[in-house]
Amino acid sequence: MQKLESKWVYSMKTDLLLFIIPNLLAALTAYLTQFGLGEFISIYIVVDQSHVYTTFFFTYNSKRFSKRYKKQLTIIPIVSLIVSSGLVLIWGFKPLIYLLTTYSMFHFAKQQMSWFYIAAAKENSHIFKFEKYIDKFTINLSVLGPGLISLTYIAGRNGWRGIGDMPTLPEETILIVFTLWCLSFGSYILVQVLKYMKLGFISWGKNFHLLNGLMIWCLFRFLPLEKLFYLGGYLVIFGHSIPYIYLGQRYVKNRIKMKEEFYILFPSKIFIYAVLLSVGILFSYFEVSGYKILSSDKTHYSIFRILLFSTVFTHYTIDGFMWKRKIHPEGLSFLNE
Amino acid sequence: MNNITSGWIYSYKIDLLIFLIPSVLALFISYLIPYGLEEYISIYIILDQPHIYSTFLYTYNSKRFFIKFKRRLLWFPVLMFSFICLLMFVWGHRPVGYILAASVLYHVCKQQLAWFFIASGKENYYLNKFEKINDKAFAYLCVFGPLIISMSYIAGAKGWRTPSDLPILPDEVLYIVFSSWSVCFIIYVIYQLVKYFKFNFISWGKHFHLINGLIIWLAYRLLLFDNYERLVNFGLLLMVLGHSIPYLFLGHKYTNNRIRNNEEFYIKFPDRLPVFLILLLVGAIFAYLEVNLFNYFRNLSRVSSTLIIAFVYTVAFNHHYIDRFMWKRDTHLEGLSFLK
Repeated sequence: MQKLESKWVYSMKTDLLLFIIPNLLAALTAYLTQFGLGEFISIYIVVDQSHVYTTFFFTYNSKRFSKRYKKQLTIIPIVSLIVSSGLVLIWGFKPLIYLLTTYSMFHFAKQQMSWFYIAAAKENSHIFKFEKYIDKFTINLSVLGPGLISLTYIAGRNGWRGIGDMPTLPEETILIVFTLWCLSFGSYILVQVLKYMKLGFISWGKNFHLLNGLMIWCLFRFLPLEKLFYLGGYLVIFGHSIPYIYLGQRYVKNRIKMKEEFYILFPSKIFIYAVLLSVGILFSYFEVSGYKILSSDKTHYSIFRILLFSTVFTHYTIDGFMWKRKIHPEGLSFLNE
Repeated sequence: MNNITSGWIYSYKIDLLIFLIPSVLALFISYLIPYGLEEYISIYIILDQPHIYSTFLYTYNSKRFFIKFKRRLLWFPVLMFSFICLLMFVWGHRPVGYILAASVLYHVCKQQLAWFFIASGKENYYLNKFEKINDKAFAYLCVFGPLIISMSYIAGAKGWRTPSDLPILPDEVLYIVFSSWSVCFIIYVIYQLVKYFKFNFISWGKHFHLINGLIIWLAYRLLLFDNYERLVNFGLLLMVLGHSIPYLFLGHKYTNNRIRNNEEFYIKFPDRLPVFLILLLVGAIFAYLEVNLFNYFRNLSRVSSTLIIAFVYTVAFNHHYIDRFMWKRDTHLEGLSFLK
């Protein structure tokens, strides 16, 4: 019990920097949006799309990974492309967009919760068995809770990209989620107070990631005013993409140190970021400024969108298994400072 | 390849009997409802409630099971009861009703799927790995598909007990579900044709349980003739009876098998008849209380009525919860031999 110390995803400094920078950036971008930034180029896409492509650098580009998961890495994009094209050809884009929104919400929420779980697992100190359940309930309700409540009429029935592109839940969801959240959050605080009184110990890392997740998802799903609405959107996008890109960079570095071979080797971080941002900008240009050019030819525009959607689905699906402990020869050592 | 036999849950005859009887009974009762049957006593509850109580006979009543899962069997109802009471005292009845609706649907769908999975598990013959994946996807779409579609506006946005006690889904789910279902259906048929032409083999058991599940869930969730009372009741009865009767039979086979394996039960049952009679009696009492004494309960003090309703709900949630792990292979000493 003497050696008990608060754990973070990486370390206190790195975590604070890595997770607070996106929040500050979100606030600044949201402030600038009113001066035309949002109209000129969609900042969401520039920053958000880059992290989607990084997944392919870590997977298809790794000799070991691409050999071991050859089947999955081949089938996933093909199935994504077939499903996307099939749906669009028969029913148009709306059903595909609904699939994308549901998958997006699940993907974003899972990643948000995983930061808390990593910090909690590294700390690995529970004063009693039930604490693990309380932790799980609290983080799920803090991230998915605002998401669920925002799907009721009472909270505006917000969609993901457009209103109505997600299920509408009975209004009583707010009462159920709020009661459960109060119970689990109350229990969480009680356990933390007990820990502090008994062991003089505060789980700074866990608490930080819990509050950060709760704040991001509350602001993202509940802010009604336009400027504030952008802030919520940026918070969730930057808070998702920037830590993800950093995680990927640590991962590649660690893999190279472990003598893993990559087909394309990257000379430096700056080069990778430059490539990623260029790809992001290129896509955002196509999506936003090139919209008119593309939409003049319906076929080309549809093909472009289908390709884009399939890429995103592939990123989500690969992400569902690529970070699992058993996937990597030496576990998740790239998370160690 | 000559040894392949079509897999059924028990056997060809028993399966047809156990799963067709509820459907015929549903048809018969729904025909009788306009003649006042439903007004007299809710037939759903009489038939549906006994299977809930039977779960407790196999679990709390088994020495081995109770000792092995003591913590879960005691903690879950206590926590659930406290949570329901809290919700009801603070927010009223509706939030609990919504949780119950979601829990019931999930529970009933999972059971419907289990019959198909048991039959295919016993057959255990796939041309390749992909067939297994497609079977799973197709079975899920046959049962959950109609349910999901029924929650969209285009199909009436039906709830469970009240019109809006379930989420309302975007209309486009119809296209997504229907497209996925069509693709899986075509693949399923192709696999079955290949099996037939290559090995002269037909998976009768699998097909039967798949079609049975699809009919029940289509009839239950998509019979939208709200002004045609008989059809709506037919769908509901199909689902309720198709859920409860096979469950009671499964429980009976399970208990018999456990007794043969020298498992000790606190209360021993001499034979099937008293058990069924007791269960039906309990169901009838509850149905009577729920239907005919509804107004009496309503006039009780808030605390008393909340406690009574919370108790009834806890019993249902407890049944759903226990059912999630009690039939698992690793829960039982010798696997699922009672299905033989």
